[in-house]
Amino acid sequence: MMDFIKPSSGYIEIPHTADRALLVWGKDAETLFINAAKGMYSLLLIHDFEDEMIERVINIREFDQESLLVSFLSLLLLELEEKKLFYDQISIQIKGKNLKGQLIGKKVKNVDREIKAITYNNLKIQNTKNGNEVEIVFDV
Amino acid sequence: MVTMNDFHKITGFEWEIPRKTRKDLRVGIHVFASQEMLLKGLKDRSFEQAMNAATLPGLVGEVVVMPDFHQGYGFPIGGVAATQLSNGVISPGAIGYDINCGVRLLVSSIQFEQARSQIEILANRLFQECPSGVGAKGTISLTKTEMDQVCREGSRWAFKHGFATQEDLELTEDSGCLEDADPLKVSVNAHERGKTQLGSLGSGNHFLEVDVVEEIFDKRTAEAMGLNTGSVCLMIHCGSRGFGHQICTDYVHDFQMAIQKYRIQLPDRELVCAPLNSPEGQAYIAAMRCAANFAFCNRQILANSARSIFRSVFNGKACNPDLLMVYDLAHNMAKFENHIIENKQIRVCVHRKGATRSFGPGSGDIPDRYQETGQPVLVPGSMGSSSWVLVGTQTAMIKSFGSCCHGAGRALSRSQAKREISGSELRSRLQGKGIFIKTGSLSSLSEEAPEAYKEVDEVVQCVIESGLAKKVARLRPVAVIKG
Repeated sequence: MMDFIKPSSGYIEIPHTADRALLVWGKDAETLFINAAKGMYSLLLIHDFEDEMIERVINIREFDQESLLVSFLSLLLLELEEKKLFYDQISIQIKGKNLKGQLIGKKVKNVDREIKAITYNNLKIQNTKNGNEVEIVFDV
Repeated sequence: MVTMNDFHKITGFEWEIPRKTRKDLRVGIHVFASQEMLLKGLKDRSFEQAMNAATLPGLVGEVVVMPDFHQGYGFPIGGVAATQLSNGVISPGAIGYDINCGVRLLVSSIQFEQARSQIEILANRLFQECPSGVGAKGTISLTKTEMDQVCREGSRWAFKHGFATQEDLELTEDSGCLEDADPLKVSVNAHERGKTQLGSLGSGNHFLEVDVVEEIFDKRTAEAMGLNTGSVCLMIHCGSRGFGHQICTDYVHDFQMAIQKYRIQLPDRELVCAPLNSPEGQAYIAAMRCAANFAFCNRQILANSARSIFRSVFNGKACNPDLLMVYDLAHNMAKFENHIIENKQIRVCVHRKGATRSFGPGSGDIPDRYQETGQPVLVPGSMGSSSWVLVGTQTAMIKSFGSCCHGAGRALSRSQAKREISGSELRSRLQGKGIFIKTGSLSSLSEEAPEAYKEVDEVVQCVIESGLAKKVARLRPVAVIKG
């Protein structure tokens, strides 16, 4: 993991030649996942929203925490591409390999950058003395 | 960490990382690059990823790395790896999320001097009428039944519906259709993402480019391709859109469990794979072929739209505004092919990720028109630089599983390019050089600046010096349409 002063955002973009990569951290799994979602949205350059609020409940079950993270972010990406939905209020609970939660957001009018997929490239959630950290590579 | 000491020099353009370099390597790595490119490549994880790729079960020969290599995810971009059918695997990450991302070149008989005054109008029309950008919907919306037909038929579907000519099919890799595609192996999410995107370009490094044939290096081969000095051409670079992205996402997810079932140990989870002869492997192959067929059809629909625009723009201004096919090829795909390994011909599954085929004369897998010359190899440069038309060789069949480079290859990260280059200044600079730029996002344009890529001429020089291809023609861009 890289050595630098961490911004309060919970994520920072790290160098990658072709794609996009984030270092994300959080005091617990829930914070880590939410910061990863915020980081991913920041890469997409989203702007102009509609006023109507949208709400949905999610339940994801996977075989480990890394898969849970990929599935969670993939779901947000799919909602954005297919339904133009951007969730800025994310409330989740993670127990082992299960995630459940509530997403609140709105419709987006413009997205300037595409993310094709969330990859498993060297994906490993690390437990540190300050919580959790993970590097995520996005195919763009 | 890979260092220069890990490389054994074969020639000035070929290098080897021996199998013994790391304990878990199953084969060595053959890199096509100049020493300067190699040194630059040591700055990212390209070669570490190539070594990780060399741990896949059932590999034969060597993992091959093309000179346009750069760091990707799991497998490096510009990587080629072949696995044998009996004990080999297929790895979706070694093909990429944009399955059958590829390039198509069409040529007209219009001379640039005749067309010069219309190029800006042409660029505007292409931008307006060929959907591009993030999540762009295509020109055709498909029902579930039609989507299944596109999955099975590829460009043949376009032909049946009047969007293609017989010649288009003949001059597309695999005639624009991989057999044994099975839509039942594709998820509902993938179907949903694909059904509205046929006939769309997408975003990122995908583009439509109007070029002029600037120089011919091999007159006989150029004639076979219909290329004449000064002719106006159109290049299309795109793939299977959200449909392919979702298929790869689904199978990379599913194969996380498959590697446990088949007790496969890998250094990177993005390389997950399944035995070629397993139910999981067979399911992915059938789904990958659906995405490949979708991509062939997608480029065909875009080509058909471009043809209409050319006819409309040049009607009465050029004697024949038709766009004729040169070739359409894939650069993210797995193919079953015959290759000679240790003096024996064997059938292997060749993974190419950011690498094209470069089959030489006499190959049974290339169109009749190119039997004497070898297949066209299309190498687009960056927005402001030349693109190249090369031709495949027998040497490529021996050295690289009949493969060649697919472009210039990135040199700068997208964030660095964006920091250093302004989109509006870049557009002005390129327009000053006579290249019209149409884009939906100036912010994303800077990420695709020429400075963000390697020099395509140097990449081409490597493959020429190594014998992987021969020069046919150099193209100069005059208009670029990006999402």
